[in-house]
Parts: sequence; C-alpha cells; structure tokens
Amino acid sequence: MELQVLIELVVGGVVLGGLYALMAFAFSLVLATTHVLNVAHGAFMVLGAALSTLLVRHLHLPLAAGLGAVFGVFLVVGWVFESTLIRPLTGRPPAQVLVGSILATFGLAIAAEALVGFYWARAIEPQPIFALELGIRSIRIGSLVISGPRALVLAFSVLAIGLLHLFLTRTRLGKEARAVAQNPVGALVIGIEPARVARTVLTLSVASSALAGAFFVVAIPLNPYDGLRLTMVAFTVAAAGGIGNLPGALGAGVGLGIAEVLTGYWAGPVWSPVTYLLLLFAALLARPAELLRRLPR
Amino acid sequence: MLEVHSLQVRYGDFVAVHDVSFVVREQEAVALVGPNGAGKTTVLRAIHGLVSVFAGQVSYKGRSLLGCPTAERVRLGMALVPEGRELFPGMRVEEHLELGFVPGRGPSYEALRAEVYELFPVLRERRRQLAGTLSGGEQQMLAIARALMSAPDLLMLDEPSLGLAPRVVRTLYEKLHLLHRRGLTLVIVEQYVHEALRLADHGYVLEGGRVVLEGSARALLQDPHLQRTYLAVS
Repeated sequence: MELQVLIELVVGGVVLGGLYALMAFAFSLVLATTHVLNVAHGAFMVLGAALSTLLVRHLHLPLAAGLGAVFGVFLVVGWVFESTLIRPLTGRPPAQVLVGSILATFGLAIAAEALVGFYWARAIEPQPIFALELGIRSIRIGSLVISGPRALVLAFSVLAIGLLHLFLTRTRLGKEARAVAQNPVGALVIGIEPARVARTVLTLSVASSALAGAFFVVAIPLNPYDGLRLTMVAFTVAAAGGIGNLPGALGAGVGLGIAEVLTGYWAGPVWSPVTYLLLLFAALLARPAELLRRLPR
Repeated sequence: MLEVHSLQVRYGDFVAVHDVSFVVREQEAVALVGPNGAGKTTVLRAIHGLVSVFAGQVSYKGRSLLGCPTAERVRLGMALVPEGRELFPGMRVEEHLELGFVPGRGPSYEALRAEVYELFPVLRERRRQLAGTLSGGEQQMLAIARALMSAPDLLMLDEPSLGLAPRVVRTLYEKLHLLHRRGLTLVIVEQYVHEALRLADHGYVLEGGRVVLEGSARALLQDPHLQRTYLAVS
C-alpha cells in the first residue's frame, strides 16, 4: 500500500478517534460519578446531529449559530432528562441505580430513535440522513492534505477535550465530580452534595454529546438508528481506557478510530463494527478487575 | 454545643446503637471509648447525618439536626474525620484542602491553608503529591487537614490512630492536644483508650450500643473496670 494512502487513513482514524474519545469520556464520567449507565448517550449524539442538520442545512442558519443552538437546546434537554428520568433513582443503592438507569435510558433511546426517524422521513426526506456539507478548503501540511471538514472536526475534539480537562482540574465543580467518582463516602463527609454533582455532570454530558454529534456529521453522516451503535463505541472505549480516565479514553478512542478505518479499508466497511467488539473483548480479557472495580456492586 | 439524647440507630433489623446520650460543651474534648462493635462509629455517623436516626435526638448549638443533610451540617461548622480516612487517592494533597474549604465560613482559603500547613508541615512538602502515594500517617494528617479546612467549630475523629505505628500516633496526638488547647471542640472515638482519655476532658464508655460508664477522663483513667478491660492491653 502506498504510504500516502496509509497516512490519509490514519488521519481519518485520528479524526474519528478524537470524537470517540470525547463521547466515551463524557459517558464514563457519568458512570463513575453517578453509577448511571446512559444507554441513550449515542441517541443524544444522533439528536444533536439531527437538530444541526435541520438548522443549518434545511433552515439555512449560519454554522456557528446552529451549533450554538444545539448546545443550548441540549443543556435544557439534559437538565430535563436528569430531573425526570434520573433523579428518581438517586439515593438508591448503586447497583439499583445502574440497572434502573440502563432500563430507563434504553427505553428513551429506542423511543427517540423511532420518533426522529419516523417524523424526519415524513416531513423532510424519506431516507433520513444527517449530514453537514461545509465548503471549507483543505489544509496542506507538506505532502499531507487534510480535508477542511476533517480538520474542523479534529480541532473541535481537541478543544472540547481540553476544555473538559480544564473543567475537571481547575474548577471547584469539576474537582467535586472527580472526588465523587474516586470516593463517594469521602465526598459526602466533607459536604459535597452528590445530587448537585450528578445534575451538573449529566447535563453537561448530554449537551456535549449532542454537540459532538453535530460535529460528527460534518465528517461522517449518521442515520436515526446509529445511536445504540455509538453508545456501544462509547462503552468500549471507556472500558478499554478505564472508567473516568481521560488520557486512557484518548488513547483507546484514537486507537479504535484508526483500527476501524484501517479495517474498513482492507476488509470492507461491513467489518468496521467488528473492530470495537474485538477491542471490548480484549479489554474485558486484559483488565476485567479494573472494569469491575469501577462498576457498583 | 452538641447534645445527643437517647440515640437509637438501626441497620435493617440490627440495632447498632440502643440508647446513647451525651453532651459536649464548647471547647471541651470528649472521648467515646469501648470495644469493637460497641456502636462508636455509628454514633459519629449519625451525628454527621451519614446514617439515619431511628429514635432519639441530636442537636447542635441548640438546633435539632433531624432531617438536616450532611452538607448543611458542614456549613454549620461540624466536621468528621472518618474511619479509614476516605481520601481521594488520585487527587493531590492541595486539592483535598480546596475541596475541604467551605466558602463563607470565617477565614479565607489562603489563611486556612497556611494554618493547616503550619500544623502539618509535611503536607506542605507533599502538596503536589497524590493522596494515594502518602504514608498511613500522612494520610491521616491529610484527612484531619481536609476537615480543618472547613474551619469547624466541632471536630469529630473516628479512630485516628488505626493502623499507625506508636511513634506516629504520638505525633498525631500532640497535634490534637494543640488543637484542643487552641479551643477547638473535639469528639474522639478510639480503641487506643489511653491516648484518647489523656486528651479528653470527659469520657464515655460504650458497650453493646449503650453507655455503660461515664465520667471525667481523669477519673476514667483510674477506673478499675476500665483498667482491667482496656488499659491493661495498651
């Protein structure tokens, strides 16, 4: 294979992997701080992609305004999601929160996918596809050419992960979230309110997933039924990288992104999903104790 | 400052604390001693709002704490150094101090931090280190420092000497004596009866979830029953 092609593929994998890392980290931060396993995580990405497509492609809003609107709308959606579906579970034993949240968010994911798929097909286009085609020029670094949309997506992932890192290490609320994830009893004793932390982390995670979904479709189109697949990716990357571990998620996300793109090139796109199942199996075989330790008993 | 009246705590059907009453006056140090399983830890957890009270009353500064969440108790000036320290292993020493700080309760963060570092100079040296990498004694100091960052009026300590070498325990108790002399109100739960009673003004002996003996710490140190059961070993 030509080196040029390999480099292009790896760049594509890194772009995809940055988004995977971002969504996986938001997913695992929620799991670590609240014991909520949000099966609807991918559905929120798809909903964000749908709203951005609607606003920018169909209603011709400027890109920045459309993306800002997605973030704003999903801050509200996240808050409502937390207060209606998740809050009733808080205060219960962790294992009940885990199981209850899986059931509740699984139902939400199915319902959201079906509703969006159905109404989009009726009102907008019979074959729903969420995509943003942007006329951004390619960037050339030496002999390497990166398409404009890909560069934009990569820049977004880097920026979002950086901001998330700053939030967790520099702000009081971010430190409280890490404290709750590392030792809920210790956090409670010194007066940290777990409910407040849960609300913040969940709301931010929903809004950032939706925004990640909006950027996702700048590089790769999605359809209404991709949500569960994306949740699966988030779970795999989180499991491989370590629950609540940002550098781990980054490594695992980029690794998976590259593996998926290369598999797609060599074996055909149908085989791409196999890569994350294999990575999940590998993670479970290699470090089951680590994964189980972080899940509530 | 703190009044515990006929406290009863249950875990399901198991009655961990039957009937415990005691009073802590301002600037006083009170020791709760007794064997394993006597309910000492549960009493502290109930006072701090970590387990629910089945019957009885806990009041602090004349106000009933019934239904008051732990975060609110911390804002009112109560602090607990829990059994097993309950630190955040992947966070730096200084981050513990930041999290322990309660804005709007007296001194500024910088002033409290300086005070805490003066009390435990080793924490200043280790301020950028992760809590999980500290020695047992340093972790206990950090747990106390984290509690002191809320500028508490009442500091409760649960088995601060657990798992520490005698030399380290002595150093730790020197610091507690210093805090007591500075006028901090203390409640201390210990199996290390001797050290605890030497620090305390008043002591209560718990057995099977009940107070079986109480008195001034000086008198308790001389008590034949207590000497036979606990002091002989230590």
